[in-house]
Order: sequence, then structure tokens, then C-alpha cells
Amino acid sequence: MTFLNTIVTTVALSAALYLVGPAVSAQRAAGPAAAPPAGDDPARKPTPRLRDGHPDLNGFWAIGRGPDTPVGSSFGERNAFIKRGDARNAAAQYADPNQPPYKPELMPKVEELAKNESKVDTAFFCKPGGVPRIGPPHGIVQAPGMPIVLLYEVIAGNTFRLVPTDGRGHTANLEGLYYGDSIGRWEGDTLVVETVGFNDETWIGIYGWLHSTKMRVIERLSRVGDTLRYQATVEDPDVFTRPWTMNAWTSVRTTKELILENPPCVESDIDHVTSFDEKTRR
Amino acid sequence: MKNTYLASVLIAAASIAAASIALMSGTPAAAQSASGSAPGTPANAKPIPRMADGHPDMSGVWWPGHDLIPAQASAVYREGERQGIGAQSFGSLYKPDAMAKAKALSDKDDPALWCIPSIIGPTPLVGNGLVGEIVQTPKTVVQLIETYHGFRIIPTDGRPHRDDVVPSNHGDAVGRWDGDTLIVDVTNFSDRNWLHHHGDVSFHSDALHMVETYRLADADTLEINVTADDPQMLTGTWKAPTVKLVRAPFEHIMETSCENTETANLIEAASKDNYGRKAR
Repeated sequence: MTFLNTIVTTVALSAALYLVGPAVSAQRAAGPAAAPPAGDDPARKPTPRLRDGHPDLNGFWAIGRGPDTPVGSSFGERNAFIKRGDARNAAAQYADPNQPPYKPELMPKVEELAKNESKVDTAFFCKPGGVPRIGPPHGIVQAPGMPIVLLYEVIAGNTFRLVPTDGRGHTANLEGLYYGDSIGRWEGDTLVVETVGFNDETWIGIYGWLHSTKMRVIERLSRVGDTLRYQATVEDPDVFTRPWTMNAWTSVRTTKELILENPPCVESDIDHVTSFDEKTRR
Repeated sequence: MKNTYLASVLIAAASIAAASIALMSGTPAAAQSASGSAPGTPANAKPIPRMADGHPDMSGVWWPGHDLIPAQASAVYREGERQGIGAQSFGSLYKPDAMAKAKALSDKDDPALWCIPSIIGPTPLVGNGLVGEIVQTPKTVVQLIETYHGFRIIPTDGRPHRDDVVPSNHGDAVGRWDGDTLIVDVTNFSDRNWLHHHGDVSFHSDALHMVETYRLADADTLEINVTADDPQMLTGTWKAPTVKLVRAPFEHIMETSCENTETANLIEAASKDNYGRKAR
């Protein structure tokens, strides 16, 4: 799927939802009509471990159920347990009680950015989505003595992150990064990834959710059977009044899919999109 | 050799990244690489690291064994020529039609300027830059390419090529072990990118088929060979010059992304400077 198609689809979807309103929302909340047998529930499968005793995160993780679709991602859509997170319309998003705790004086700016997303959101101009907007990893590689590798299929160009878990601290003097400098540690069976060193070009989410270079992101990944639970907490004293824990995601392990490469992101496509900001109307 | 200015600009950017890494690693790069397997030193006596399954473990950060600074960017070209890219490039085997097309192209047509990664650069693991990292599990070899920040997933569990995917810049790779050599078969390329970098004209068709081999010549030296067939473009099988990479003196690779807007700025700057040609 091309970048433009994704946008157009999103616009169409958003517009349709917006017009049809509550009935559709109710249906979507109810989930798929024919639920698979409970015995197939990947969360009930055993959780394999590596020799070091930590859960084995290796594999491909199809984007599953979550609050919002990560930027530019379409990985994993072919399984009853892999119902993608919905690209919400504005009404649904703003109705979520878990809103980012922006300082009151910044709210007008956030709203202004949201209204002009197609013009100012760098993710729509082929720039990297950044952390945590990129969402849960689509692939994880975990090898002894090496950093844990998080792989992402994204429209702006597939990317990866390295998470050393050998107890080292952050690399000194790193700044201005899209994906930051990450270090990881195990808290029981949960991999905790702490990331700093960001630029302030990216957003946390599509609704004008800006952040500063002081942002610190804590991501928690835990494998439960053949599912991967992912939750991010964002700390940013320059823009937030308190740390913000975003809604959790559940991805599902998939053996059928490997990460694909999208066609090159062409930022001139954006000129043809005129109605994307419709979705931010309340 | 083609005009070099644009490529030099990009190389300079990559060099800054590489130099920064070396600086940030806190270890003098030159000192480290000198203590490694510099040319002329006796073969490394350390045993080749192995996985639990007995296969060589190629995990680690690999690079050509030297650093770059922007002022010496043109040295990359000499290095490229030393490695044989250029005179022995993919394009040297073009059929007449392709050769005619190649003559009409130059470094400013390099798709890498639009952030589309080269297939090989000097060698597949490093792509458009100098540094690559391998993370190996019993079922997969993952190559992380620093410049343009891409990756390749090479399954080694015996699965065949996928028949359900669209062509891509890096193609579809499957690996297998032949003794201690990893053999990677790559098909299903798009025809968007070039094989080489630095403006070395090396377009290909979607019929391109590559075979890459990786072997640990010793514990700290990774030897890479590549052959390529492209019956639509080439008169015969192209064999890339053998590239040897050594372990890098920094622990992990960095975020070095390519963005269209920056590239556009570089191109604009280069055009203002007449692509490095002296004004008449």
C-alpha cells in the first residue's frame, strides 16, 4: 500500500465513521462477529524462554489491538486475533479519557498543530515517526551478548532500534535523534526500555501531540504466550504537567509474515491530499 | 570516474556520522583498528566465535577498518577504487543498450540521493555507508545497515523465497550454511535503485539475482563475496571484488537517517556550485 493510498483510505474511513456515527463505533467496539475458539487464543499459549531465563521475544509481532494506529504502519492484518488498532476519528480520540497532560498554556498550540496536520506533521513528509509514535516493534531479534533489536515496517522507510541490556548507561552527548538512545533492563519478565536524546520534530501522536528535546520515553514489553503487550510512558517536563502513560497495545506473534519494504515515500504525494485535516474536526 | 561532488557531499555527511561515532565511543578508532587485523599482521589466532549450533557467529559491528573525516572525503573514492568498484563495477558488463543508457546518466541521477538505498555500495552489509552490524540467532541473520538506517532479515531456517511479496530495494533474501560459509540468495528486487553508491552508475532490472557469501576469515575479519546475474542488462555474471571488513572499535551503530528534504538541499547546494565543476 502506498503512502498516498494510506492517507486516502484513512480519510475515507474517518469520513465514513464521522458520518455514520455512534452505530459504527458500537459495532467496532463489539469486535469481530465470529470470535475464534478460545483454545486458539494466543495469550494462552506457553511463554518460551531463552537460556538466560528471560522470555524469548524473538519473532514477528503483528500489530494488534490498541488505541490508535501507529504512524505509517500496516504490519499484520490477516488473523482473527490481529485486529488492527483503529485509526480513530477525532470524536473517538477526543472522547478517550486518557488524554496527554499538556500544560494549559500549550493547549492552543497543540490544537493549532492538529488542525494543520497535513501541512506541519513531519510524518506526512517522509520523516521518521519517532518514539513512541512508531508504536510496538514488528520484529524482535534477541541474541546472547548483543543488544535486543527492534524492527519496524514503516512507510517512511523501515527502521530499527538497538536496545543494549548489559547494564550500561545512556551514551553521553547524544541528541537530536528521531529514535533516541535506548537502554534496556529486565524487571521480572518485562523488558523496560528507556530512551532519551530526541529531537523535537516528531509528535507523540497524530493530534498535534508535540514534545520537547527533554522527552524521556519508558516502554514496557512483555510476552504473554504468543502475544506481546506494549505500553509507553512519556515524561516531558517542558510540555506535560505529569508523566503520561499511553494506552497499551497487544500484538500477536506471527510466523507467516516477515517485514516488507514499502515503496519509497514520496513527499510530493501530500500535495494531492486536501481533506486529511477533516478528521481533526470536533 | 564520474563527477564526484554530489557523492562527496553525501560522503561528508556519512563521514561526520562515522567520525562522531568514533568520538562518542570514547575509544580512539585508529588505535583500536591498528590492534585488530591490520593488513600485514599475522593471522588472528583467536578462535572463530560459534553459536550453540556450531555455526560461526558473525554477530558484531563491522567496518572497513578505517575512519574518515570530511576533508578527506575524496579518499573514499580512492578506497572505492582500491576495492575495485569503478573499473570492475556492475555497469562494466552492461549490454550495448544498457551501456548507452548508462552513458547518459551521472552521479546526479543516483537514486541514493533520494534516500533509496544502494543494494551493495561497496558491500551489502554496509550499503551506502561504512558500518554494518550483524545480529545472529539460530534461525535468522539480521543485517543492520547504519547509513539510511535499514535492515535485512535473512532467514536461515530452510524456508524458501517468498512468492507473495512485492519487489523491494533489498530484495528477498534466504540464507543457508555451507560448512562455515553463509550463502545468501537474493531475488525479487525492484528496479528502482542502483547496486553501487557514490554516483557509480549501476542500474539493474527486476531480473537481478545475487548470491552473497559471508565467511569469517578469522575471528575479527569478515570476508564478503557477491556475484550477480541480470540477463536483461549484463553480458555475463558479475563478480564483485572481495571485501574484507573488520570488527569496529565501537560497540553499536548509530541512527543515521536519510531524509528527502535534506537531500533536496544538498542537490540544490551542489547545483549552485555547478556540481563541483570549475566555472568556464
